[in-house]
Amino acid sequence: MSPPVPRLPLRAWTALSGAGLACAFAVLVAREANPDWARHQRAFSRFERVEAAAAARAAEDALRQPAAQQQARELASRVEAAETALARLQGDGGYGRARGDLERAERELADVQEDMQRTRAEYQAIEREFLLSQNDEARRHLRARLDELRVKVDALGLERERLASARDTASRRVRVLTAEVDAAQAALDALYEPVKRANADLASAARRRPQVQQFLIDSLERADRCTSCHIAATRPGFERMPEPLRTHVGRYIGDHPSERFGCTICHGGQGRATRLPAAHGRVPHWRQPLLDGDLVGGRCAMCHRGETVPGEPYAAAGRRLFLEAGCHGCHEVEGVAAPRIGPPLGGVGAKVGGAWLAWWLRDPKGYLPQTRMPNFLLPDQEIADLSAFLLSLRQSSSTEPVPGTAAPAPEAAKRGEALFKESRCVTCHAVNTRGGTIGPELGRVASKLRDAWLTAFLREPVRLSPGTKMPRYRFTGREVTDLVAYITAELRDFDEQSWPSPPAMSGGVEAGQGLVRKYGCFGCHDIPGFERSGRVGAELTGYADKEVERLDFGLRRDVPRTWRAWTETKLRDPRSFRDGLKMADFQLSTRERFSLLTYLASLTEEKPPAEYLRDAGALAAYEPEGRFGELVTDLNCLVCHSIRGRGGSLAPDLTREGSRVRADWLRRFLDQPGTIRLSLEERMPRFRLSREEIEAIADYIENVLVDPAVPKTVFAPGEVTPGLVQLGKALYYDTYACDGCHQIGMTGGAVGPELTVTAERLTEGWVYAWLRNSRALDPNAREPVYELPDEEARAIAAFLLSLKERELYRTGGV
Amino acid sequence: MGQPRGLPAVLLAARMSVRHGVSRAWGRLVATRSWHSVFRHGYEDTRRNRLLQVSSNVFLHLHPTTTPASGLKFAYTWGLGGLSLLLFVLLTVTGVFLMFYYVPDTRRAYDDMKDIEFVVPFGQFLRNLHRWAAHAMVITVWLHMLRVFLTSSYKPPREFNWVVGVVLLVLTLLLSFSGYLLPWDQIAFWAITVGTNMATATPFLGAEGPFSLVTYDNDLRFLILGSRSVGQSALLRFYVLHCLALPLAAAVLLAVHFWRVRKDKFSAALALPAISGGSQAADLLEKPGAEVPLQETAPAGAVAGPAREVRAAAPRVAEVWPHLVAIEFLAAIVALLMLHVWSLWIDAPLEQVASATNTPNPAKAPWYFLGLQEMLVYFDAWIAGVVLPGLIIVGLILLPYLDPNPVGVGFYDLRHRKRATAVFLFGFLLWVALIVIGQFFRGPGWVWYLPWESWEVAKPVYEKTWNFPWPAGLAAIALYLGLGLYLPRRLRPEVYGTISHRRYAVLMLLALGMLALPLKMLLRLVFHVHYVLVTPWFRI
Repeated sequence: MSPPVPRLPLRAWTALSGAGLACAFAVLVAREANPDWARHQRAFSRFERVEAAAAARAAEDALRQPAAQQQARELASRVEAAETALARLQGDGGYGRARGDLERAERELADVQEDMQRTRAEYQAIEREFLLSQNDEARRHLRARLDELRVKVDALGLERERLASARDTASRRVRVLTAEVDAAQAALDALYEPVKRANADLASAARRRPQVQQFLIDSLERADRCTSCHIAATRPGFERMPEPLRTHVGRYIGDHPSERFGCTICHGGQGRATRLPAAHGRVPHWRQPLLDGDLVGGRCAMCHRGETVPGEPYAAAGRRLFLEAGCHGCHEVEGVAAPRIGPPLGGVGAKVGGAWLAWWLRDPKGYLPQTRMPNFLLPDQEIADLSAFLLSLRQSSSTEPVPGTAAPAPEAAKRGEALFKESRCVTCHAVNTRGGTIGPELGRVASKLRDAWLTAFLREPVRLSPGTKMPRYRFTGREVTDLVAYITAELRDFDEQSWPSPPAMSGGVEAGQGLVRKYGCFGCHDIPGFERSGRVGAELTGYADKEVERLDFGLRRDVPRTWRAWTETKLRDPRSFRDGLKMADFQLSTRERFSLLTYLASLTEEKPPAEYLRDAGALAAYEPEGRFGELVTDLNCLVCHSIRGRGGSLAPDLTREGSRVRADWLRRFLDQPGTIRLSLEERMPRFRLSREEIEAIADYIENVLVDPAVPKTVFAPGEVTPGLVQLGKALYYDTYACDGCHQIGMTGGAVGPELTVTAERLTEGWVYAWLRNSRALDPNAREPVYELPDEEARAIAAFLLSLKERELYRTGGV
Repeated sequence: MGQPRGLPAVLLAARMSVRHGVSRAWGRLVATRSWHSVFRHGYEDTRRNRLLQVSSNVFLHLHPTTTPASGLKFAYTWGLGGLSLLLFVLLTVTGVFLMFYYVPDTRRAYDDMKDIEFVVPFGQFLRNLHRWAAHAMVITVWLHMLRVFLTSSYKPPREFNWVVGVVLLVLTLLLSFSGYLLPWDQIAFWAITVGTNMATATPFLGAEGPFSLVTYDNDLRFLILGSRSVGQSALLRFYVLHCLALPLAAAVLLAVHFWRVRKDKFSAALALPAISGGSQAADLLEKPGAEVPLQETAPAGAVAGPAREVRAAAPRVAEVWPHLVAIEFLAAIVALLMLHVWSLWIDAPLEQVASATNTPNPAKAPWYFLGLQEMLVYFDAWIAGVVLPGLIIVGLILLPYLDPNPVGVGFYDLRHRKRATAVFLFGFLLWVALIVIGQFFRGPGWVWYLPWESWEVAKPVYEKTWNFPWPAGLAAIALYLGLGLYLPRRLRPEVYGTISHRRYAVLMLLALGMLALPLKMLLRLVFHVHYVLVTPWFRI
C-alpha cells in the first residue's frame, strides 16, 4: 500500500508561512537595525565629516601658501644643517662618545638592578625559612646569612644611586648635543601639525559608528540616554544645527556637568528610553513627562531653594509669591514652613467695627487693593454668620474704653499730628499709599478700628496683637490720647455712608464657627479654638508629579487633559471645576500665575540628594540674649535691622556695629536718630528710649557685636602729622576721586554715606579696615575694592578722621 | 533544435560538470567514517530510511514510526498539545535571553526592564515574544484539556496521564503567575498582592482564615512571599521558581506525559468507538508496525464486542516521516508567525514602577485568576480563593475516575456523553465567563462597568444586602446537599446506580460544589443575599 503523499496545498502552505515568517523577521531586523538614534548620529557624523574635510582642506591650503612653503623649506634646511653638524660630531668622537657613555651607564644600571632584585628574592626566601625553622643551630646560620645579604643589598643600593646619577649626566650630555636637531625637527613638525590633526579628526569621524550614549548617574539613580539623539547637546559650537543636533542653550551645561546631573532631572522625560515618544515621557504610565520649555526654569528651585537663579526669575518669584500670598496656609508642602500671613484674630471683636468687617469679608481688595487676603466669594448669609462669630471674639476688659476719656480737644489732634510726624510712623506705615509697607495702610484706619482698641494697642502692641512687628514706643498716656485723637480725626474714610451695607440677615456664631472650619481661615490667621487645626487644602508635596488621572476636571470639558492646563485653570478660576469648591479667588496677574505655575512645576516627589541642594543661607538663627534680647523683642529691631543673618534688610546690618561706630555717637544716635545717608528719605524712628535702655543696647553692641579683625587703634602716638593728612587728602581727591560717590561738607556725590561726620561716628579701626578691604566687612557693599596699600589707607584714614563737622559746614567745604 | 551551440552549450557543459563533480565529492563525504559517526543512516527516500528518521532521532522518536491516517487529522487535536510544547520551548529560549539582562533586585528590576526594552538589541521583541507566548500557552493548555475531554482521551487506560496533565496545568499557571511579578511594575506588584492575599484566607493555615492556627508571620502567605508583604523576598523566590524549579518540574512531568501518550497509544489512532474500554484494542496494537483495522464510520450507540467483529475495509497507515512531521512543522511555523506578528505589533505592558503606597483602583489579578477574583464578590476569600479553586483542581484530577461512561475514546462523541459534556462545558464556560466579567466588566471598586463606560466617572454602590439567619442557612445548606445527593440516584438509577456509593458521593459533591457558584450568584444578584450562613468562625 503506497503511503498517502502530502497534498500539494500542504507544501504550498508551508512554503507560504515560511516566507511569511521570513518576512516578519525581516521587518523585525529592519526595525532594529536602523533606530532613530542611529539615524540622527549618522546625520551628525556626516555633518562632522564634512566639517572635518573642510578643515583638513583649509589646513592643507594654508600649507600650500608661498609663505608657508618658504617656512617649510627654511625649517627643512635647518634640520638638515643640524643633522650634518651632529654627524660631524659623531665622527669626531664627541657625540659618539657621549652616546656610548649613555649606553654603558644604562647597561650597568640595569645589571645592578637585576642583582638587587635577585638578592632581595634570596633574602625573602631565607627569611621565610628562618621564620619556619625550629632548630637553633640552623637559625643562627640563617641569621648570619640574612645579615650578609642585608649588607649586600645596602651596598648595591649605593652602587645603584651612583650609577643612576652617572646615567643622568650622560643622558644630559647627549641631549645637549642633539638639542639643535630636536628643536629644528620640532619646529618642522609644528608646521605640519594642523594638517595632521585635521586629517586625524576626519579619520575618526569617518570611523565613528552609532552607539547608544548615556550618562549613568548613580547619585540620582538615573541613566539618561538623551544624548543618543541630542548628540551635540553638551558640545559647544553647534548652536545653529536643527534639533535634535543642536547645542544646549545658555551656560547651563557648563554650570551643571552632565556626568553629575544628566538631563532628566531638569527637563523630565524618560531617560532610559531610546525611542520616541517613550523618551520624552509623554506616554501613559510615565509620571514625569518632558516639561514645556518655559516651565523648565521651575526645576531650578528643586536645588536652588529660595535663592534667585540668574536668568530664571520665575521660580524664585513663584516661591516668594507662594509664601507671601499665604498659599502654605491651606496647602502643605514638605519643607516649606512659614508663619501665618494674616493678623491674629483673637480679640478681633473688640478691634474692628461691624460695617468694616462686612465690607472686608465681602471684598477685601475692594477696601484695600494691595491686601493679600483673597476673595472667598461668600454669600450674604455666610458673611453674616462669619461676622457674628468674629465679633464674638473679644479679649479681656483692657480694651474697653477707659473711663474719663471724653471727646478729645482739637489741640489734642494737633499735638497728635506732630507726634505722628516726629515718630516717623510712615517709615513702616503708608498713609494713602505714601510710606512703608511693613505695617498696614493707615489712610482710613479710624473707620476700621475701635478707638479703645487702638488706644490699648499703641500702649502695648504685642499684648493686643501677638507676633506684631510694631515696636513699643515709650508714649505717655497723654501722648497716646493725642495720637488717637489725631488718627480718629484725620485718618478716617470721610465717605463712610457710601460703604456697602452689611447683609440684612442676622448671623449665628455657631454657623460662623463652622464656616471658619470649612474655609480654613486658620491657615492665615491665628484664631482662638483653631490653634492646632490642620490645613484645608490639598497637600502639594510632589504636586509636579501628580498624575492627570488624579486631577478632578469635574464639569469642565473644555480644559485639555494635561497637568498644565488643569493647574492654570485652577489658578485663574479656582471654583470652576464643580460646585462646592472652597478655594478663594486670588485675582492673580498673568505673570503671577506663571510664576506660581513654574514653582509648582518644581515640586517633584523625588528630592535631590543633599549634596545637590543649595539652600539660600540656612544659618543658625541668631537669638539676642539678656536685657538686649528683651529690648530687641520689644522694639522689634530685627524687622528692619539684621544681626548675624537674621532680620530685615531695610536698615544696616548690626553684626559688627560695635567695631564700627564710636560709643558716644551710638548713644547719641539711639537717643535721637539722625540722617546718615543723604540719598535716603527714611531714617530710624525715635523710640523714646530711657537712659537705662540706651545703655543696655550700647553696652551689648560694643561688647558682643564686634569683629576681632577690626583693630581698636591704628595710629601710633604722633603718627598723624599734617603731612599725612595732606597726603590722604590728595589721595582722596586726586588719586582715587572718592568724592565721586561720597560727600564732604557740601560737595561730592550722594551714592555712599557722607563722610563729614566720619570722625564723629566711625572708629579709626573701622575706617582703616574698610579702606584696606571693604568686602571682608560687608560682602554686599557697593564700594569697589581698591586694594589700597597700607600706607595709603593710613593716609586716607588720617585725612577722614581729621574732618571737623562744624568747620566744614561753616566753610562750605574743604 | 537539438544540441545547443555556442555560449549556451558551454554553460550547459559547465553546469553539468560542476554538478557531477559536486555529487562525486558529496558521495565521498558521506562515505567517510566521521560522517557515519553522526548520521547513522542514509537519506535516500526509502521506507527504511523514513522509519529510521523517526526511530533513531532522539527528538523525533517521541512519535511512533507509523500512524493510522486518522491520526493525521488536524481537526482532531488541533495541534494543541504540540503547540503547548512549542510555546514551552520558545518560552525557555526567550527566557534564557531575558535572564542575561535581568536582576531580581527590587531596586533595579524595573530599570532592567526599561533597559531591555530600549537598549538591548531586539530586547522589546524578545520581551513581547516571551509575554505573549506565556499568555498563549495558558490558553493552549486549557484548550488542550478541553479537547482531551471532548475526545474522551482521559478514559481508561489514560486516567493517570490526565492527572499528570492537570498537574502540568497547575504548573503552567504557577509559572505564569511567578513570572508576572518579575517586571516589578504596578501591574505586577498588585496582581501578586491580590493573588497571594487569598492565601491568608486559607482555613487553618491562613492568618485570616476560619479556625486560624497561625499568625501573619508564619501563615501560608508568609510561606509564599517570604515576608508579610510583596517585597524583595517575594521577588527573589518567584524568580527562582519561575526560572529553575517550576520549569524543571514541568520538564520532568512533560517527559512522563509524553511517555504515557506513547505507551497508551495516541487516542486518534484507535478510532474504534465500538470497543468498550481500551484494553482489548490495546492488545491488538501491541505488535509494532501492525496494520490496524479501522472503521471509517462511527456506529450508533455503545456496543460491547470483540475487536475482530468490527474489522472493516483495507487499513490506511501513514508514515510519520514525512507526513505527520510535515503537518507539525506547518503548525509550528504558523504558530510562530502569528506570535511573531503579534509581538511586532503589540508591546507587552509595563506601567509605573511598583509602589506599595500607591494602590491602583481596581487592582486586578492576572487574567487567568480573574475568575477567582470575581468569585470574591459572591463568596468570602476562604471559599473563593482557597476552597473553590481547590475543589476545581481536585475535581479535575478525579474526573477520569468518576466518569462512568466508557464510550467515545478517540473521537468527538457528544451524542453518547451528553451529561458529561454538559457538566464539563458548563464548568469550563462558567470559568471563561467569570474571567471575561473580571476583565471587561469590572472597574474601580470592583463595581460593574460596561466595557465602554469611562472609569473616570465614579459609580457609588447602593446595594443593601441581607443574610440568612443561621438556622435557615444551616437548613438550606443541609437541604441542598441532601437533596443533591439523594435525588439523582433516586430519579435516574440507570445512570447513577451503576457506580459505587463512594464514587457517586464524590461525584455529586463536586457537582454540587460547582453548582453552588451560579446559585449563589443568583441569590446575590436577584435577592441581594450576601451570606447564606453566618457563624462566628466563618461565613458562606
